[in-house]
Amino acid sequence: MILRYFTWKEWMLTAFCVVFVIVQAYLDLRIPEYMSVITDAIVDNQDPSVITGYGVQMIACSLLSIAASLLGTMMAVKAATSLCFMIRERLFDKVSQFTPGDVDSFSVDSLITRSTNDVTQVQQFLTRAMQTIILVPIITGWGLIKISGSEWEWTAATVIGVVITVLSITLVIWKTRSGYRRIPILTDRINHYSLEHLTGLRVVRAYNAERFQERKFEEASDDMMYNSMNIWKYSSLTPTLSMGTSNFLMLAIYWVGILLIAGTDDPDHQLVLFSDMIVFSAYAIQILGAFMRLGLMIQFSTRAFASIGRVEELLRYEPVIPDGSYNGTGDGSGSIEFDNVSFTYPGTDVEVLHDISFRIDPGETVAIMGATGSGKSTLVNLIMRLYKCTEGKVTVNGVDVTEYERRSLNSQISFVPQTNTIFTGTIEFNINYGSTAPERDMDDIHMAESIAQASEFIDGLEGNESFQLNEEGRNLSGGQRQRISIARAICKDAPIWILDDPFSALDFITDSRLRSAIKEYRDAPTKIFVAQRVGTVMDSDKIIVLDEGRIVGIGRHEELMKSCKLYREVAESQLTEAA
Amino acid sequence: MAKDIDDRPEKRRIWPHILRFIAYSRPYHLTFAMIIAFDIILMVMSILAPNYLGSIADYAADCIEYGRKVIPDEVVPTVLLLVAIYALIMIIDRTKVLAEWNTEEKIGNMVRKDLSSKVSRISVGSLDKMRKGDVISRFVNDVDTIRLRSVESITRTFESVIMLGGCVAMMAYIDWRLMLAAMVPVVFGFLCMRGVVRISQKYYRAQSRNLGRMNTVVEETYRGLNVISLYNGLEGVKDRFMEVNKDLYKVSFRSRMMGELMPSITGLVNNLGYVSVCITASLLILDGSATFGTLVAFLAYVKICNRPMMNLSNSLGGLQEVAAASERIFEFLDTPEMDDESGKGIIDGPVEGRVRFEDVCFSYEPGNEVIHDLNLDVIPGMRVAIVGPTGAGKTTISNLLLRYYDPDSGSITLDGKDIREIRREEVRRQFGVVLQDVWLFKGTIRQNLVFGTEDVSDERIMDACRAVGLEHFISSHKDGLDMPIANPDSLSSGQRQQISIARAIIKDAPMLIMDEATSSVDTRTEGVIQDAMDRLMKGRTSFIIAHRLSTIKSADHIIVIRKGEIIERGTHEELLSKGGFYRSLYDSQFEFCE
Repeated sequence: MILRYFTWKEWMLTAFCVVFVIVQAYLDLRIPEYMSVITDAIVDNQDPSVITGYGVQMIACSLLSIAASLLGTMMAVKAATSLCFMIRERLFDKVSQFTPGDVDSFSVDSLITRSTNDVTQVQQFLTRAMQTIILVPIITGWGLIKISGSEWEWTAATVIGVVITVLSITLVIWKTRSGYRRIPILTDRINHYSLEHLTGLRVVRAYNAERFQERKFEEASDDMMYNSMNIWKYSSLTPTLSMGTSNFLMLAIYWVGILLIAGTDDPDHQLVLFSDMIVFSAYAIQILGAFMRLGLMIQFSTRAFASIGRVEELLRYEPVIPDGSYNGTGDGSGSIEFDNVSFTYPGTDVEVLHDISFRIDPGETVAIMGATGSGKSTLVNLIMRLYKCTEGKVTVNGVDVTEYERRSLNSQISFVPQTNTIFTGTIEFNINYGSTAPERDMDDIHMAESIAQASEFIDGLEGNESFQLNEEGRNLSGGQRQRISIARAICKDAPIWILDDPFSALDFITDSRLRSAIKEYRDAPTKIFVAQRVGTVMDSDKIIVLDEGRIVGIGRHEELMKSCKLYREVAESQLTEAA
Repeated sequence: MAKDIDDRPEKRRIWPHILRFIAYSRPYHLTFAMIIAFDIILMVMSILAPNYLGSIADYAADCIEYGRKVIPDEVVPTVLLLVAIYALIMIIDRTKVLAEWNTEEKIGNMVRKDLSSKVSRISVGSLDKMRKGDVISRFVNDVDTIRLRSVESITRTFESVIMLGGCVAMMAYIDWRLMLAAMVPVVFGFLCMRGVVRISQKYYRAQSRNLGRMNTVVEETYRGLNVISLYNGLEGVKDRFMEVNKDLYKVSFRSRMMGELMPSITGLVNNLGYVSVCITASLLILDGSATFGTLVAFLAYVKICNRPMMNLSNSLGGLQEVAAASERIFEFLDTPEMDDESGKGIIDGPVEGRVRFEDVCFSYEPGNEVIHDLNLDVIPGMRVAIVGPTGAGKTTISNLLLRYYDPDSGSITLDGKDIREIRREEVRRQFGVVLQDVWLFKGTIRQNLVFGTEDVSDERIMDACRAVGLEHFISSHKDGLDMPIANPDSLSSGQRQQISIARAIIKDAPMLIMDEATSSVDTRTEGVIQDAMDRLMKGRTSFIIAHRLSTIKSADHIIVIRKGEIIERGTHEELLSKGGFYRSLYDSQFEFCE
């Protein structure tokens, strides 16, 4: 349960909360006593100053009760909010360790709802639940003490009332549990479709498919509504039933009382029975009320339980690729080796890479070529340990990638992904990004920009490096985003550069300038390009040609022209066409 | 790091938002009225019922006092009456609760749908400036608040005010001096509550806003996780996350505490009222102008008053949350919309495809013009290639053609008609489009392919797939066209582009826009696609934005743009012989070959 995550601090708060709730319950019971004392005093024609005196005492008692109640609430709210604060952090930390495989097993939308909406549900539930859970035993205990020793008929009536309440609430919970469990899933869907529409805005409009998208959303929204209405059909019974039960219980106690009084002729016994009846009815209602509150709380917490379950599932989840413990950098040279590597995406049965072996020496420039879907991106993802090899192993700097601590492995690689990731923030923030950012100054940033051929357009922007980028860099063109993404990799300047076809949105001049700038770059890091154009890879130290997940050729351009049929075909078609 | 939209002026008033919400939920006003009426009936009944119960006790007390025999049969009529009243209460209550909860769901659903359809009426430009996480938080979190609190707090407020009014009138009727004594604390209580509302509204708003911020941070982080992680940027993101997390923790604690203050104030006010009535009464009794009987009757009303007071204070907290959520929801619903175009023309029959740009100027942000005086005349069936360095304004041209944006000055005409005079969806219907940002959605391959087009036969879909080289990929999967795409990211960018192109082929529109359609496709597949596109473009006016010269070469007309202006135009051969920018662009692709 969620209480597992309570630290000593939350337990302390809970303990204090218990104390304050008890104090408040005691003071609240004193107030009616004061009220009758005051009316008695008026009946006795006491002096108004005496009445004022009692009045002041009563108000003081009321103020104390408020203080106790506020303090009690404060403790409960504090415990709940700080617990959720901690849970949010833990969820965030957990997802931070995720690799794409982990993300896929939940879906991004679901991860987002779990970290936000679900936690909010838990928080609301906890604040309400804590006080109720504390109050119920206190009131029940108090009431039981007061009514013990009365006639069994009354106790029986109360027990029947409690049983009816508990049964009806149990029944409602049982009837509605599947509905409640669907709520978070439906919330995911609402989230998903609204995000989908916002992300695909331009395509949706180009195809006049707004209605299509809206319909999907509306369907999800309707489902949400009908699901809830289905739940309400049953759960709306609870407040009515509870009220009815307590009304009828009251009536039953009076009726039984009348029968009991009628059953005896002893006036003294009659008087005892009469006052018992009045006292009993008051406390029985309190006990029933307490159970009602408890029941209602449990009923409304069904949704919270679904959320708690989802949050817990995520908290307990272990990422598929455990982090290693090696925090060095191997020989630091920038060498990479694939040793009989095969890879199948989890949950699928198609082998994307088959028996791949090759070695990249420090400082080499390597190109990976192949048709769409031939496994190029997958191959570089394995270097970065975004996925785990199904068979074989990948070593970086002579150390198996699985042994690295993620931070250490990451520090060895500068990566430009196929799809750009741009963060909301300034250009500078986007280029000089990551943990090593403070080590670099403006000169480094300018240098990275100039290699990435980004200086010219950045100079044209208002505020240059301090220009604010929108979410996903939507105020830049595709090619500009790509160059920011490249500049980021250059700025990081790790021993290994991996560029996953990052020039697709660049024109030829920019492309070729960029390539020569990278080629001339002083430190000669190991560079891996995923590429499609023979023209751009022919002077690489090594070209790896992939076809349906297998290496069909590896070597320099001239060698491949002789030995690799696929490469020769591609090269010839491209070169003749261009000429 | 970007500062979130926190620094808007603090408007702490809740009533304008509540009134707006009430006006908005017009279709349910009758239900509101019914709920209020039922609730008042229920309150009156539950005030009356104890009297009958009391009369049973009185009967017993009398009998005991006067030594009479207690005969149960004599109370049977009262018991039966009570059974009837309690049964009636249950029926009315059941009806009311169900109506209330269902109405909340229906209003929630209405808000959600309105928000969703609003998206389609806001311009691309305005949406680009918003943060998705924040928008979605409005769709989910703020709607949830409305769903859970709105009807209850609003109807409770109304009926409490009515009940209070009734009570006060009754009190005044009994004794106006005692009424004043009872009302002094109430007025004091209201002043306190108003103060609390003023302060707490700030926290409720901050809570809504911080939930939005939280969504934004989490969204951006989870989506960019790979890059963030590879750059060891998690600490930076964590700092930002923790900042929002702390803010959220603080405001949710405070707003919740503020909410708790209300019932406490009411409790105090009730007790103060009791004391003040008793003291006044004792004075009045002393000088003989009131009797004890008056006091007893009066105290009954003071007690009755407590319930609407309690309800009112509870619902005020709810109203504040509703006001904060409504504010954000209406803020989105109030986003300026694109002009209504229902009066504008549609296109009858097939278009010829003559497109003319006349002195078109355009800027995304004022003062930063990206297109200057663009003039271009495209004759029907012409294949136009747009070439130029990145950021030159190529995609902007397609944005203008598709009317995502309209020019600042000048005009674009289609068959001689200004496209601003044609409905947006009509303009877009004329174009098969492949955009730079390929976008697929969760669903089947088929759904993604026939997107927006109706009644497409399998044959036509498969033809398109064959044309873009997807046939093998699809037929090798056991579900074929119905193969699900659970996560579009699991496809390579090349495959995503292939699907996008097939989608345009299936649409079979009279004109085409291809913005970097094949940039991520390998060259062999591109060759296949090229043949298909050649066939597709035959006889259709086409705009091709591309870097690969193989795609451009066969164009009828090539325009080279740079910094928003056309610097060269002509056919491939003409431009090559000219020896200008195009020539250098062309040569650059062979630099590595030599």
